[in-house]
Amino acid sequence: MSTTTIASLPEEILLTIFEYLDSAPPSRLKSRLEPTLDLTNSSNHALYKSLSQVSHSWRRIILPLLFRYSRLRLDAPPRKEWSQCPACGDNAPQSSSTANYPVDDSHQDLFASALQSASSTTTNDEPSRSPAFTLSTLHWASRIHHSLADYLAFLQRNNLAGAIHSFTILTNRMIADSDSRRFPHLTAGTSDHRYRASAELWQRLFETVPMLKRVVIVAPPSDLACLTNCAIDMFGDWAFEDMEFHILELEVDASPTTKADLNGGAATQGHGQTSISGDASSIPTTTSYVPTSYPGIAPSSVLKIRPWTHLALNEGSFLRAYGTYEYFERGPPSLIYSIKDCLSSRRTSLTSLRKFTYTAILPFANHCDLRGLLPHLTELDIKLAPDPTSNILQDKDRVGKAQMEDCWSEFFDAYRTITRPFRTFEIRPDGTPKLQRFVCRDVSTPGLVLELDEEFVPLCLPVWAEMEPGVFVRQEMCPPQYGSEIM
Amino acid sequence: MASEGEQTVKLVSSDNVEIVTERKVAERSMLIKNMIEDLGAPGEEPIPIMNVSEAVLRKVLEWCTHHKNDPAPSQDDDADSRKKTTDIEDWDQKFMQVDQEMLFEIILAANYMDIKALLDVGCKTVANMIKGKSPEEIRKTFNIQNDFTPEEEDQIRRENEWAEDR
Repeated sequence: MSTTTIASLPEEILLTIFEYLDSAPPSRLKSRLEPTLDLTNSSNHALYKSLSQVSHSWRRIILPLLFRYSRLRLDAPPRKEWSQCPACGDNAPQSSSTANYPVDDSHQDLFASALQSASSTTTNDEPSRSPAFTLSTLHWASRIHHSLADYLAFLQRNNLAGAIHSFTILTNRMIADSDSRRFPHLTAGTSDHRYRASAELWQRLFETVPMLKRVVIVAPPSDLACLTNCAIDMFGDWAFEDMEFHILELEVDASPTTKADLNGGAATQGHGQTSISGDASSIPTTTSYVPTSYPGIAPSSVLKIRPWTHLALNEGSFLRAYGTYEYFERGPPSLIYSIKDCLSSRRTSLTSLRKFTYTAILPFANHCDLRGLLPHLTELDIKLAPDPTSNILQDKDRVGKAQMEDCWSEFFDAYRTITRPFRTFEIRPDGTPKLQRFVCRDVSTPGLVLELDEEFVPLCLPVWAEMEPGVFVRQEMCPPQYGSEIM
Repeated sequence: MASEGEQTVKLVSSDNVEIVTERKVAERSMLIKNMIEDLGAPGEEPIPIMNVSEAVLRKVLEWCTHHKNDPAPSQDDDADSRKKTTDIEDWDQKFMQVDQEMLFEIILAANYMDIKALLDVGCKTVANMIKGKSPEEIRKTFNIQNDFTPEEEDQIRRENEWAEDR
């Protein structure tokens, strides 16, 4: 009789064992910490990765679990093979893709039209960038295309498309910019080819992984704007030296949704003339990937590609900017203005958004005006102080010339600004704003609890009850109607 | 007629040994429970447990005896809370202190005899043996052959860059 070993177990039992070893992805555990490119890395032992390296059969079983949380580093070194690409490689342009290196039409078209416009003399008045800058953006368009293409080919080879739940994309600053502009989107149609490449990235990703539930982007603010086809104002950028990266996280409810629902949701989101789903070979038009104005979001933005229910923004540290003269006059480069605009104007997109999560380190109070978002939200989750595990405030280099009293005064002011519209006695007779849940994460910092408690006194019964520290849950839609004489 | 609790059933192992046990104990196995319901008249007809040897069957019945009065698991337990933890109660932990061959035999028997709670304890025990180990340590623990070529190992490292660290 042969001995019984782990190899005797049927695959579904091994799978059950592996499921017991599941752990939360770093991108969730670290989403409220100061953003870094390490968001998806773990200092702990990565057990699923170990399991994937044991043997062929174990790898096959673990792959769908391991790749449930996948990631893509855009700024990883380009691979040698990419230079063979007939559209953007060393010998490009070739008139058409060869059989052993198929290229999709829109990638071919991006480079064909980019080269054409570079050779034609630009006599029009449209703003443009230096030829070196434009060439860099073309280089990045190539990297964006091929790094995704390699990832998608891997998914298809291993039949993993259905297993991907979450996709995180990370990049350091793409172009060291001597030619910086206040509104980068103004040149997106003529000389920044990354905008079009970004739009195509999301389109191809969602064609291959239609059931994707979560997208996370980690990038410097201007690159984040570019990867999301959003307009951004870089005016105050110079003052926010320590605000290296932002994290944008988009999620649809994990509740079972059919593919038809997802597509239907996207279709009703008003893509203007462009169609995101369907025809893989459709060539995008500039109107689809360039935001028309600031604030604004282009139709083919990842923000509009799905009916996202939860949006989280982590903008990192405002600390250095406190050291600048009349700091409060300056806003950081932020997507929040375009997002707010998207929700408050006719609201043809982001119509499903219900939950907003905001994280930053000591943001200015005037940056925390969320009134434009509130009418649409049922849940608001806020964290504005450094995490208790962070030592940023003990680090003289990080604090710089910031006056701590300014920082904390802005901190409490920010909470006042955020909560004012939904304080118990500010709720309107019709029950608006309809927020159901407000979470303040900063109560986990012991030194802040007393003052925060005081700040939250107006979130009182009968409308609000603090169910656990920092978690306020709506009890009643309306406050009691007192006569005006006692108000 | 004796009450169900005192009834006994006869089981026959794969190596043809007859084991008599309490019906309540045997019915921790959904396989046996369904067979008794289908056959009627328990106790008379011996029930063959075809894939399980005497040694393993006795071990499994030891577990069933200890757990004979456990409440039946609800549907919710099954779906969610089961996956969350690899904690194992003390008695079960001691029970599972057996050599690897017996451990995997118990898991296979629990699977065949459809004893979900025992299968879970077995899977958790194996999971705990894997925790915190490197690929090489896992292979050593379970005597698994490394069937990757160095080129494949390189490729795996590259491909794994597309997954978060977990």
